[in-house]
Amino acid sequence: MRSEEKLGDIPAKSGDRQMTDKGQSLRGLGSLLKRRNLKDLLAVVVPVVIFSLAPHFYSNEILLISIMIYVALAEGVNIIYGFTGYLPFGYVGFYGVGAYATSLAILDFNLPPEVSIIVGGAISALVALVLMPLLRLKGSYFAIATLAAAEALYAIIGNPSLKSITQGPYGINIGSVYSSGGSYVVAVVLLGLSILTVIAVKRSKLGLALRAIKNDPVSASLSGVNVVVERTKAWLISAAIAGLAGGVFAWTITIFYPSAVFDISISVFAIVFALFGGVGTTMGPVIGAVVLYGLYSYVGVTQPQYFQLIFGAIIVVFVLFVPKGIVGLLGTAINRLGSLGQRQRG
Amino acid sequence: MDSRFVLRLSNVVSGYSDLPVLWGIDLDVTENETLVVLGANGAGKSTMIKTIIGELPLKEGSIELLGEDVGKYKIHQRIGMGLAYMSELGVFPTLSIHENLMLGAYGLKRSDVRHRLEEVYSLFSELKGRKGDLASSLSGGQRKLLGIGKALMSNPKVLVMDEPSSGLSPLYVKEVIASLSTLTGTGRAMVIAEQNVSFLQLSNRVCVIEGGRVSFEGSTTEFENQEVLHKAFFGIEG
Repeated sequence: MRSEEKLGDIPAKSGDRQMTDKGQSLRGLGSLLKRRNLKDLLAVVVPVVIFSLAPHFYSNEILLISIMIYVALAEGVNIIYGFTGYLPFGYVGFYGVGAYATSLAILDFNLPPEVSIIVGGAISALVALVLMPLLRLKGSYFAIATLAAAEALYAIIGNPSLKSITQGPYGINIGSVYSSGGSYVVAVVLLGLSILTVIAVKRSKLGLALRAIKNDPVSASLSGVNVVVERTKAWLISAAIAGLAGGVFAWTITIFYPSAVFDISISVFAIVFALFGGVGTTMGPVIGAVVLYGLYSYVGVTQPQYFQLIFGAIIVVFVLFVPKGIVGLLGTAINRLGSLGQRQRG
Repeated sequence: MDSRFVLRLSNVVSGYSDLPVLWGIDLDVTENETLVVLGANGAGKSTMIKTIIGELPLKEGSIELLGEDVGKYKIHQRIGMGLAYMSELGVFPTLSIHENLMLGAYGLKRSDVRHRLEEVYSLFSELKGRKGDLASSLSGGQRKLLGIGKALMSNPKVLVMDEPSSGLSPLYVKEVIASLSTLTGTGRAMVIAEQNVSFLQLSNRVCVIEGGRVSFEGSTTEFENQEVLHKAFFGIEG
């Protein structure tokens, strides 16, 4: 019977043949793993090395730190949006909380800035835990609800009646711990950590579960995935990254107002950078943040009257015509070149 | 036949929003048994399967899985207990064949996964050759086979299937039946909701649902001897 022949492949094979097949498939799997390991290693090492050496060639460290912060934010958006499909328009809320929690840990508890930044990340994750019910919402409702939550956090922290705790709308000053070199090193660590986190999520059971959830939550739970728990993990990791990024910003700038760290454009930039580069990929958000933030800074300086128009036009073109981002575009181009080469050889 | 119940439905009332579709279903499935649930479109087969897996809530009655009342359990909890559901829905088109199978083994320890993979790949050789391909590149029939393979990855005690023949050419229906036949008598129970009577060749028992109620339950031989039912499903004189 045809079907039996097709399904029952094992009895028909000789022992030698089975061993050869197994050896070949193991070798294939081994080289695949090696390629994957190398690719992932390069994805972390190359940006970290470039940004570590960059101050020797380019003196604007604030711009370099800003790019690294945006890479981290875009990778954070990548984890919650790229892997689960939840678009967090209010992502800036975690960034602002991280910046304030870091500053207050320095001012009120005299913690070293490096430790305070970790506290900032942890407090942001804690806030994300409180905001967990938002994950019950879907699509634009979730996006709007996170935006409202970020505005609420802004209103709480910037409230004049909380002046004794947060300094309210009058801003916060941690100038006493200013360290240009220190904050740069921590920004590089944040850059590497955020990329490494995306790789770890992608390669883990969590990453597989999140991709299944993005496909269809019901089908994912039919595979035994606890949708609520796995989605919450992504939400907390994503919030912690934003909190760490906010902490690095606070230590870099040292004096800031609530409006600077709860600015909705920070969310928009992080989302656009991730989309531009390619969500769901490791390098997409890195490419997106470096290219677009670099361009944004250049256009903003040389053509300040046009920069919003030019920047907006680029975003519209990419969202409409390159929905998979730069990394997706490159992947398609490489595949086409590969099949063209095969056809020519054939 | 071993009489240990692995799945027991008692007076199950279930449906969509306020409207019940199932009106008091009683059904027992023992281990090592293959039960084919027959019924016309709208009879309540899919509703019953969805209620068993937890996609639809119980309005009344109880469902016991491996002796435990799972009426209030969520889908993933039932799956974690040893229930597996096979449908085209369960296959993720944007994941590779290998990733789909790995997802099927989601609740397993890493040490058990390799063994399960080997077993499933040995059963479905054509999937093994294309393990890196996206599931979306598979034909409808191949997706069904992947769905079965994925469901088997967790080494389930009870495997439930909703119309595994839907959308398949007769050739692929044969192939699906052939692959399922290798699973009969291996200790696990199978519940197959179908309209296609070809699946009766797999069954020990048959349950017929009409209007949300069980109108017949008995062995496959008893079913074939019921002239009225035989005529209704085979469309020929018994």
